[in-house]
Amino acid sequence: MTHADAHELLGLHALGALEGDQATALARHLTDCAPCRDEASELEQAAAGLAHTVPPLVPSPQVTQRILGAANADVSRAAIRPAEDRMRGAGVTRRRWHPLSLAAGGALAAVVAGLVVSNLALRARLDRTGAMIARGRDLLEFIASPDVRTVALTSDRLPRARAFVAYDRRSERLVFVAFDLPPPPPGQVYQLWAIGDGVRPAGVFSTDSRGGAVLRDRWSPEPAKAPLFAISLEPAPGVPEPTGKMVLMGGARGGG
Amino acid sequence: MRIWRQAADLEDGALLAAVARGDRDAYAAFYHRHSATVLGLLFRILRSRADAEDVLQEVFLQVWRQADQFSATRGVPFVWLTTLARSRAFDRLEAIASRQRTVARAASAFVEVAPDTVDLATAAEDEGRLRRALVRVPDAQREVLLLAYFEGLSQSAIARRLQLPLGTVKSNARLGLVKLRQYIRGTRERAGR
Repeated sequence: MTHADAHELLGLHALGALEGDQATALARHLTDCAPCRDEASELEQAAAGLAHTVPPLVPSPQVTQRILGAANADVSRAAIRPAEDRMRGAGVTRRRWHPLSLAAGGALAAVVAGLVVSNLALRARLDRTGAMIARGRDLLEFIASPDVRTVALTSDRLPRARAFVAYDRRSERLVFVAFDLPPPPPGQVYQLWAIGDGVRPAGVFSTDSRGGAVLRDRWSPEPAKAPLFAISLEPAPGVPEPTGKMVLMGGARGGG
Repeated sequence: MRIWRQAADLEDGALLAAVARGDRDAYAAFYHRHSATVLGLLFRILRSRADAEDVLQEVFLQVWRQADQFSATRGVPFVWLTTLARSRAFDRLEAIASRQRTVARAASAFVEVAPDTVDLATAAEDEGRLRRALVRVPDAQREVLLLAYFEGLSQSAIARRLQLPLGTVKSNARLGLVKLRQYIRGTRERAGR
């Protein structure tokens, strides 16, 4: 395919309307031709503008809750918030994002940047593995730190299941880890509750293929008393107060 | 104060980088920023609110799971997001067609649904601006853009529908987008962006 032929096809390409052989040939040309790549990117942005020509529709609160809840329950991406991201002080509910603060992405970002030129599939795989290792290390460091209290959750109902909550009042982090939990019945999710002066929902989750789950939440400071934690089965995507039966439970000893 | 589109893209990039690290606040922020536009787009393609909402969930779950892969490509987040949405919507349309429900749907094709009364200022501003740009694109070119973008038709399907040679469809697609880009820039500059 000549440069002129390729250039002519960029409109159809940006609209996703190219077929078979032409699409393949153009993709090959784009890997070699920087001017065509730039033009393709410009036209793709113009095409994306078409999305703004139709009236926007605000999703209902139920749909929003379902969608944000699905990400919360998605254990494949469960991660521990990095130390610099911890919430400090009570009553803060949302952080502001600034591009500069994100520039300090650390070693993982540098590794990713270094790999940009290499094979795409390999890079994606390395990327995921690196992120997984970083998350795992962060989780271990958190659980091993001296200020963290851990509470084991058990039940006669599920004798094989093992689960614990680790929390730190100072950094206001809470992590829940479970193994060998049966998958929730269709249409239901597991929900974690922190029970102190009141009952507070602390996140919903499902299980991975091996019955594992990791959940992280913010620990809302309460007067120095020993908290209880419980897991119940609830209708998806979760409920504000427990309605289902408790399947696992455990409490901290002493001053929590 | 108005925000430059480029600045918005940078901010989207920062949000997605945070999503890639598993940040749920950033994910919620990215969702609240774009969900109304994406749901509007999905509804325009699918003509069914229930289907559009299902696909919206698929799209944002994909954003949550693949933000790390996207961040490395350094593309434009909104282009990525709308490409995901259209691709999923056309998959859904095919599934619906295979269930032979197209006839029933055609009957309800022009039902207008009023947007919910939430703060739509930014989305509405973009909508007005882009609509003004689109109406200035010549009819023959605009027709090609709309059939490809919202109906998911390929070059040859558009040629058959409009009874035009393939070459004309090809040049109209490119010229239409070039004009649209030029008019978008024009309205942005006049608006002081």
